[in-house]
This record gives sequence, C-alpha cells and structure tokens, in this order.
Amino acid sequence: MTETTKATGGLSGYAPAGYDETANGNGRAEAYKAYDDWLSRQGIETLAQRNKQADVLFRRMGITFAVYGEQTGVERLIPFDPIPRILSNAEWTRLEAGICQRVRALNAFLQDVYTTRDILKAGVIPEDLILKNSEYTAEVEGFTPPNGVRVHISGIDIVRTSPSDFFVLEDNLRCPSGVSYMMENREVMMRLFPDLFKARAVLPVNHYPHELKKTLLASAPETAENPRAVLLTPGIYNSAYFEHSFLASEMGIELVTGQDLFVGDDDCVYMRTIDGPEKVDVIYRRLDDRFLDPETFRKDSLLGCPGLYRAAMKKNVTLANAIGNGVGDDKSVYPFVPQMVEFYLGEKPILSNVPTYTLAKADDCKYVLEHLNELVVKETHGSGGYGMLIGPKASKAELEAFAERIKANPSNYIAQPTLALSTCPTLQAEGLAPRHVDLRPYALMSAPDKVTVVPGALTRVALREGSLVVNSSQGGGTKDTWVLGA
Amino acid sequence: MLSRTADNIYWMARLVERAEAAARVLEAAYRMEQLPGAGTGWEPVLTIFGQIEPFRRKGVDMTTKNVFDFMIFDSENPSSIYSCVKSARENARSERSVLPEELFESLNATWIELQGLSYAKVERNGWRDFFEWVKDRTELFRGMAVSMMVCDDAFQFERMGAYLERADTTARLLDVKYHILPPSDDADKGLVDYYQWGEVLRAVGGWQAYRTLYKDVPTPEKIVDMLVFNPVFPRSLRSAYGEIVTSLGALKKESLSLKIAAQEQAYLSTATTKDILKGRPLHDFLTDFVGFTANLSVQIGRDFMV
Repeated sequence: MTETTKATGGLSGYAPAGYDETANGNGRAEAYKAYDDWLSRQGIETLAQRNKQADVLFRRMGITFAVYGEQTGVERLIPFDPIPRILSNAEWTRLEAGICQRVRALNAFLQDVYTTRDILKAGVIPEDLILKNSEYTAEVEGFTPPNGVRVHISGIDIVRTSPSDFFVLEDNLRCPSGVSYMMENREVMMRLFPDLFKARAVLPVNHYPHELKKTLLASAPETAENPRAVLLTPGIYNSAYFEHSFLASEMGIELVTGQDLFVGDDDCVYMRTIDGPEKVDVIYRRLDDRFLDPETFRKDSLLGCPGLYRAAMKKNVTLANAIGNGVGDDKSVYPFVPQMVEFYLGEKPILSNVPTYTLAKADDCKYVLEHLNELVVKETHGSGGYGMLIGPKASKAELEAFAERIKANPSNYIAQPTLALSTCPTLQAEGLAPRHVDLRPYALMSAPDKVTVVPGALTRVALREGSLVVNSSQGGGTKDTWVLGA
Repeated sequence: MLSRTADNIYWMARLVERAEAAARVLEAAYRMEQLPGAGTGWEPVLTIFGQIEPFRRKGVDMTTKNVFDFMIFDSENPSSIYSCVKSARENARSERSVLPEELFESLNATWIELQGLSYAKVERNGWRDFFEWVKDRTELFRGMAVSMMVCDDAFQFERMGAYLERADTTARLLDVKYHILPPSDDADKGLVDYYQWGEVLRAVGGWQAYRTLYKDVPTPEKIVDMLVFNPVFPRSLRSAYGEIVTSLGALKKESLSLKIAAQEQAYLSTATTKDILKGRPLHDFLTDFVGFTANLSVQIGRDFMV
C-alpha cells in the first residue's frame, strides 16, 4: 500500500466540543498517539473505503441482531465504526481492579440476601427495598450454588467524563449480551487493518470463550465427574441468537433450546441426542428467570424446560447465572453498591457510582420533579434504553407526561444528572465527528474471590449527533475497544 | 449430538439439493422450449416437483414466466428455489455452532444474493447465467460439506439428507419423462426423442457421463440403466442408496432405518433394467421407490430425531 498523497492530518483537523477521549488537556491522549500517526499516513479515505468492506464482512458472517417490534425474522447489522476506542494500560488496570471488586461485592450481596441477610440486619440497606422488590425471588431463599458463585458472567456499564473520571452506570448480572461483538469487532478490525496490529501493542480478547468455559465448568455440581456444559438459547428469533451460537461454537458445547432438554425422574437434566439421553451438568442460560421453568415460574413459557428449577435446587445442575440475580442489578438497589463494597470487602470502592436520586424517597422525588428537564430518569426494572426520559432532550409535553407517570408510581423510578459523556472520533459521511460512547467490559467469576476480565470491552456509540443513547435497540453502533499493552 | 441438530442438518442438506434439482430441471426444460417442436411444456416440470396442484390453485396460465415466478421466486411455494435456500439457510443458522464457519457463510452469501434478484433482473442478465449461478452455489455448498466437515454424526446427517433428496428427484424425473416418452419404433419420433432424452441427461448433469459410460446415442433403456442401477454415476438411485447406507452404518446406533435402506441397496445392486421392465411398467417400480424413500425418511426421523 502506498502513502496517500493527499495529506489529511490524522486527528489534527478533528475538533470536538466537550471532553473527547483522544485529548488530554490541550495535548493528545497517550493511548491515541500511535493511532494518530497511522491515520495521518493513511488518510481518512482509507477508513471510508475499508469501512465499506466491513459491512460486507459482517453481513456475510451473519453477525446480525433482531430488533423487537419489527417484522419477525428481520435481521439487522449493528452499525460498526472503524475507528477504535483506545484505553491505555494504566487506565485499564484501574478499571479492571474496580470491576473485579464490584462484582465480588455484588456476588456477596446476592448470597447474603438469599441466606443470612446480614446487610439488612445491619441496616445498611432498607429491608423493604430488597424483600418487597419485584426482582427478589423467594423461591431461591436458603440456596447456595455449588461453588458459591451466583454472578458467573456480568457486564458492567461504565461511562467517562474526564481523563480520570469513570462512573459505573449500571451492573448487568443476569444475561448480559454483546460480548460476541467485542470479539467479532476485533476480528473484522484485524482483517481490515492488519497493519495496525503489526506492532502487537493491542492486547488480545480472543480467549474470552476459553475463560468462559473454565468459569462454567468450575461451577459444576461436585458430583459431576466429567462435567458437561450447554448453552440454553430461546431460539433463532432471539435478538442475541448470533451471540449464543457464536459462544457455543467457540466453547465447543451444545447449543440447546428448551425442547432439547428434559428433567428425568431422578431430578437430573438430560438432553435428547441421536444416541439417547445425555446428562447435562451446567447450563449457561441466555433466558430470563421467568421463562426458565413453567413448573415454577411463568406457566405459559415454552422457552424453558419443566423441572429445571427443581434440578438446580437439588444441585443436580448449575444454572449460570443463578436465579434471582435481578435484585442485585435493580436500579433501586444500584445506589447501595458502594456500601456493599465496604460492607463485604472492607475496601474503598475503586469505581464511583453516578449520583442517583431514589424517587421512593419523598425528598428525592420532590427534587426530581422540580428539575426534570436537567435529569435522566430511568425505570428501576428497565433495560435496553426503553422507558427512560432524557430531560434536556425532552419536549415540554414529554416532560409533563413523564411527570404524571412518576407521580403515579414514584418507587418505579430513579434519576441521575445528565452526564457529559466522553466522545470518540467516529467516521461520518463528512469526515470524523465526535460521538458519545460508553464501555461494557465483561467479568467472569470462577470462585467468589476470583474474577477475570478479558482486556477489552464492547464500546457502544450513539451515532446520532448529540445523542446520549448508545443501546443497539435504539440505533447505537459499536467500536472495537483496544487495551494497549504495558 | 442433539436430535434437533441432526434434524436441522438433514433438512439443510435436503433443501440445498432440492434447490439445485429445481435449477437443473428448469434449465433443461427452458433449453427445450427454445427448440421448435421439441418442448413438452411446463406440466411435466411441475409434476416432477409435486407442484402441479399448488400451481393450478394460483389460477394463472402455464407460461414460462408464471412457472419461473412460481418455481424460482415464489415465497409461498415451499419448493421454489427462493424458499429452499431460505429454509436451508435458516436451518444452517440454527446449527452454525456445529458447522464449519465457511459453510454457513457461503450459504448465507447465497441467500443474501438471491434476495437481491427478481424476475426482471434475472431476465435482463439471462436465465442460463442464473441457473448456472444456482448450480455453482449449491455444488460449492456440497463440496465444502465434503471437504470441510469432520466425518462425525453431523456429516452423516448432511450426506443422508443430500442423497435421500437426490434419490427422490432422480426417480421423479425419470418417472415423468419416461411416461411422456414411451419407447417406440416410430422413426419420425426419433429426433424428438433424441432431444427429449438429452434433456433428461442434462437435468441430471449426465450428458458427458452417458457418453463415457455407454458410448451410444441416448436410448431409453440405457438411460434407465444409468439413472437407476449404475454404480458409478453419482446421481443414480443405486449410488444415492450406497451413500445413505454408508452414513447410517457410520452412526453408533443400530437402527431400523439402516436395515431397510440396506435391503433396498442390495436390490438395486443386483437387479437389472430388463428385470424391472419384464415384470411391470417402469412407472410402478418408480412409484414404489419414491414411496419407499419417503418412508425411509420418516423412519430416520423416528430413529434419531425424537
């Protein structure tokens, strides 16, 4: 490849208004220096041209995503941006430590609330907030999973507002998705820009499935000699089906639907194979609690398998993640996570929370209603960017309508200040433009004191100018996320 | 291996084979339409695929355009090339975790390209190009399956699906053509027969094979021999059953499917064209064969996919 004759100056012509991750004060952030050099040599035309190839690659590889509410079976690509989001080794080291700490505390919290309830007895968290929470699952009271792990896989959503300020926006302790994009984005980047990876400065993420499999097998019931894990998917029309199939294949385990499984008279779980029933020891289920087992949860669910709950309670099979984790990532419980870290680990939290108003509290509710146009309001049980209000972007009518919904059921909401999320350069038709990003690293817990985070993450980017909503169901895109070596 | 996986892979292979067969038969018939006086119309083609009644229910004339629309693009016709590729790709998508990556990606690419085609577009570029494209894509799929799949259970179900479908198609094709082309001594019919039987050979990609194996102009009896009993022609009933039996035998479980398939294979290995034509009309033999093959498919389902 020859040098482009037309000098484009790399990032030098790029002028973001707020805090951008390529900047450090008035200079260039250390992590972006090498990339900036490369871009100066290549020119933005190269990016645009190779980006077209990316689209073809993703489609051919069938890396698609179904959007609910659209016609059944319609598959869409998540828009991919070819400019990587880059973190220095020092930045990552701190994030990693903070994530591990947070996940250990959350696992301890879940174990505690379903057994001895020390944190409630100590008055650190109001008892009603937990025991009356709709995510609290009385069916698993007193249950301890085989290796004490309830949060096998988690995704911690993080935002950044300055070179040194990272905030946890939310914890995902149920079935966080998106990790396949972390891996496929890297795969596509390596195909499109092999020259960028020659220096071996970017830490690899491809071993994630290997770590995931180790995590799953570590949680197997003690009685299982050669434990077998499977991945339980709701099926090909699920929005994350590609990911289910990708992970099963990378781990070399069976991808099963509820109909492939049955619970025998011995309360063990079996899968139907061409050679007859075969026992299953660990189920990485990508299915919500309420669909898991029509005997115990939703009666009309055809997605799960009757008797799974019974088998799990008898420790004949391990469900990853455990049942009942929703009470740990509920938005009304989120404000207490820093206290959990201190209570269970006796440590100072490394990562901060976003300041949060709990509308169940009368004072907070009053304040929020008076400042609605400045705040972001979220449903406590919501996810995927549905059912939320972004005050500064809302019309007067929207604000009024939302205020009515809040008054009708205040405890259903929390509110947070609108953060000035960092931006990253993103390829647009007119050239490079700043767009807001967040970060979702994935943590794997193989024992209550052992958490692994693969050095990478899913970076979601709000592609519309000025937008703060990064969810893929709401028109967000993704970027490859680089962690540089030490 | 999961029973559902076996089922999906088996049907994936059957449907890809069916798309290929549709392309071959349509191409051969389309060629005949261009030879004055040689064509036999579209009814036999629709009969081969069991689609004569569904087509009639459409209430349209049996023109080339309407038949192509129905057999290639119609999403409501489960035997159209469009539907076959769509369902095959969906089955593959369900099982991509057990298939070689390139196998799914290649089928996915075919599906993406097919979605971008329409009657008008293909007509502009020429039908022959289109049929060749379908044959290329489906044969590429078969080739990838053979050269990339591990010879495990998944591979056996892939092979069974492909050859069971192939046996079924060859038998139907022969039945329909033999019915409208009974052997006769009428000299005037000789030339038409020549083209008609040539069409049959083209539809199974067997022109060159016929010349090599029989060193003769096409004659009905020799063509029946090639399509039914020939042990080296890959689309003969005997070859197809040989592959099916090999696959059933490679599975761990001893099954009733294997037993009955092996009996049929033994018959095809020992009988001759003269034997069948002596006892009863070819049509009866082929009707029995198609029925038997359908039952075998049901039995495979009972043995492995419950």
